[in-house]
Amino acid sequence: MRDQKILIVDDSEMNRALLAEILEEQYQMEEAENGLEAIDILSRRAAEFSLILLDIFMPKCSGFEVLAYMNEYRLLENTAVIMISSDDSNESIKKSYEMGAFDYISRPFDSMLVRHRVSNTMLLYAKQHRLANMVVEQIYEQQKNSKLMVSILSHIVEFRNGESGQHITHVERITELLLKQLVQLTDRYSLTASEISLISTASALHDIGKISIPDEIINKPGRLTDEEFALMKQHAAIGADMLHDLSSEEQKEELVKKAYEICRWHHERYDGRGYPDGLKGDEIPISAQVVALADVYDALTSERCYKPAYSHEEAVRMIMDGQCGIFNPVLLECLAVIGTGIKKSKGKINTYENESQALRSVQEKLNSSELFSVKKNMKFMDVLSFEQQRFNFLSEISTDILFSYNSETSALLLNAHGAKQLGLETGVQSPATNPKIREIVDPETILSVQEKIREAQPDKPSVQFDISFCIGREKITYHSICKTIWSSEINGERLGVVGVLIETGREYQHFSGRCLHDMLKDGESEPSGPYLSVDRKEARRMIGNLQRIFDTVYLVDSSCERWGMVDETGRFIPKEEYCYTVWEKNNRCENCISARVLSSKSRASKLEFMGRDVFYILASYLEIDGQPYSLTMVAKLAKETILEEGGKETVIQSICAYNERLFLDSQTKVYNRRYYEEYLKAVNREQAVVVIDVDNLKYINDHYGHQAGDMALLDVTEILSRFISEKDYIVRYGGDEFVLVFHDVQNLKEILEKIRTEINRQTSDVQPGIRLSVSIGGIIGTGTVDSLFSVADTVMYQAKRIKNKAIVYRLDEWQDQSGAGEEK
Amino acid sequence: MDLKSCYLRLGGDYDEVLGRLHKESLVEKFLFKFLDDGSFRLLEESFANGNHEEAFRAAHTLKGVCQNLSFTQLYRSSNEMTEFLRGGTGLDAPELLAQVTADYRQTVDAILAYQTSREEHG
Repeated sequence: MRDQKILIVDDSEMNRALLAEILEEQYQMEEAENGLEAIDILSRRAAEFSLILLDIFMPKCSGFEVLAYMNEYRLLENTAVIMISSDDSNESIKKSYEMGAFDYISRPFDSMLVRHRVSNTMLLYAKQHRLANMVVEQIYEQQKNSKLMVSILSHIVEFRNGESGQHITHVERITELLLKQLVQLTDRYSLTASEISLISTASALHDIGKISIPDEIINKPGRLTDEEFALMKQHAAIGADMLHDLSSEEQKEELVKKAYEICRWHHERYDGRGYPDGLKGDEIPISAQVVALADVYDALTSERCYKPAYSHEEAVRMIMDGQCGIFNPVLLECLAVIGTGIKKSKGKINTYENESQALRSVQEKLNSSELFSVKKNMKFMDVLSFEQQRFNFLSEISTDILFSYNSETSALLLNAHGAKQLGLETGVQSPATNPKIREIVDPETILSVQEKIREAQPDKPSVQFDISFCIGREKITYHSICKTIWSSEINGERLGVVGVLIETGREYQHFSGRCLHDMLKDGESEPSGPYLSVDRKEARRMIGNLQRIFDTVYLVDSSCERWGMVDETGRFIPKEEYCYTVWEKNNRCENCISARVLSSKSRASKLEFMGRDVFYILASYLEIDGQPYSLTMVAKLAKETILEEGGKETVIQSICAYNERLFLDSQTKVYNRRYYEEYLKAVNREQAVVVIDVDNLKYINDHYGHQAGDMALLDVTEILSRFISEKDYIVRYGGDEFVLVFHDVQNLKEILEKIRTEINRQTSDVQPGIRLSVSIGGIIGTGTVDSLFSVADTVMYQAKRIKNKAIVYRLDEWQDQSGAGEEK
Repeated sequence: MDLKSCYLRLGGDYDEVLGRLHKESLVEKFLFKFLDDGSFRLLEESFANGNHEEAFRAAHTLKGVCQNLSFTQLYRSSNEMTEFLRGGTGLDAPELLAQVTADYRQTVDAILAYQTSREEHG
């Protein structure tokens, strides 16, 4: 790496010296004290520099002028530019980006950040450079492919024609010879070498229209009847039409344009007596004139089903006599001159030795439609830096823990959220030995992680490990999925690691309901800070702006189910379907971030997978005219942005498993308390909340063992799930307490009574003596789940006292009743 | 006098600069280098010659240097000067110039005092 050279351009000697000091251990340095000097250096030795640190305000010639110079001489392709800016120049930063700067560093300099940015830029620029080469190769490949495609197509025709298999290659060769001779005799047609090669290649397609002519006409040994000949003549126009049917993109190809001329007009004659259009003289494109002559010459000198082969001399005489129609005199001259050359070269014309193999490979290529995909790649190039910036932006506001480690600088960088979660700075120097890290991770784990990373290889760059952090009184375990990054220049040199930490578990010393509640409070991703409250007009404008950054932007209302957009006036227009149908799910997402942000009035993010695509979803609490919504923004991640190919499957599995582990009760597989706290409790609408307590679970556990207790719980959940629709929820709230949330409040009392008697009837498979009993209390009303829950809990205790009866109140009834109760 | 008290004296933020540059030796090196920095002199000269463009550039450079060294006090006045010059074409700001000059003197004095105490104590 020491061989990479950086040019520092800044008018302040102090600033140059400081940057040099920070970077000199890793790179070679050169300094320029103004833009003019920089341009002078670049004009002579631009290739030496991998990177330029460029100040904006300088005497003589500003940083922008240097950028403009670099643009003009295409120096930015190989040399990255990082702008140095002071905090006051947002406009300048924007302008720099527009002019092709890759990144910017603002004063005051943070030495670690400078090193990291510089090293990252070099890495990414090298990647882009490789990509650029790839595109060039792709273009080359495309030309090769087109040539091959032409050859394949024409040979298919030839095969059907029952011709010698050599006709196409002969015509191609003769066309080339005639054209080369033509430019020597006259400059009338001003043909370049590449045009000659293009016309020769395209000549192979002259008869593709014959594909649609019936076999019996094409292979008829005798003379064709007038009708048959009329049909046969159509092949010229048909071939041209075939090319005309190509996509407009493909029609812009020079090769296709030439082929069109040739197909349509290779049966025209100089005197205007040919077909299909009866063009005359130089109305006929020169390409078609030449191919016509080559076609006729080769037909005469080859054996056909209806005629023997004529000698070269005979053929030339017949053509000169006009027996095959009238040709351009200049071309006849050419034919006469090259006559003997044709004879010689005809014997030597190469054909595809391995035709069927070539055919297969081209057909595969055609099928995978790589042929015209160059432009797509170009676009990808353009979006790469955009993607990078977008990803940086997303990672900054992400509520996942994202990290990158740079081997060269030994610096670990965390995104803002990650740093906060782990109680670290966003930059950590030498993490393995850093005292702050050692405080929260035990040394053995550090060793094993180092070991895992060391074991990674360039061909197997993915690494996964589990790591636990002791933060406060909690031990939080994360599953890490990361990727090692390797140098493209030096074999086996590891440049760094990037990755994500996914929380898989939390342990807490005192696992009681109260503590759990506190813990969940602490663990909430973002404190409910100031949130956005806007009017309709502002909402409309803001969403419009966001739509430029994200692929999709939509709102989810406070029921966490209705999604939609705002209209021109900013009014929320819900769709008919549920928001989870967007993600091709039948149920609400386990990890519903809209519910999370609506309950915490904050932001949350997650990854969602659909088919082979990965989406980054960001939700943010937003009030429009006082109504709460979850503003949901979706960005499709380019595979290259974060995940490697093939690595995705494991990520999907991990995320699914993670959601399951996190939000489903391990015993009963219904939602757990965490799900309730994070997602459910804030749902606000008309609904019913029911609390069910298993009366004798403790007794069963004590007398028959925990096995029997577990079985009893499974029996209960099985019965509960029978009475619950897709839109309702079962939560195991505590050891023996379940919470049901009903979307539909019709017939609730009957349903709950059925549940109670069902459970009562249930006898255990393990212990026939065990009879289960539950107490059920429910409340129907409008409000958050949490507020209804506290009432339902009281109702449940009432039911426990009364026994053998499920009790349900409407919220207003309950308020009257309890108010009356207090008076008594 | 140690580095920290030198920073205290010149109205700077020592913890901030150490947090960025990480090495005390580096901070010290550039602290001394500041004595050779010509941007303040250029600012004075430009005011004397009535060269607005040069004055703006000098103030801007001085501000940048102060930012990098966490010279908070001098940064504040040189920033104000930069903004004043960025806007118009005039150089009529005797109070601002006096403030920058006073802050510059204080900074240089503190550095010189620190230098002396370093030399005395080896």
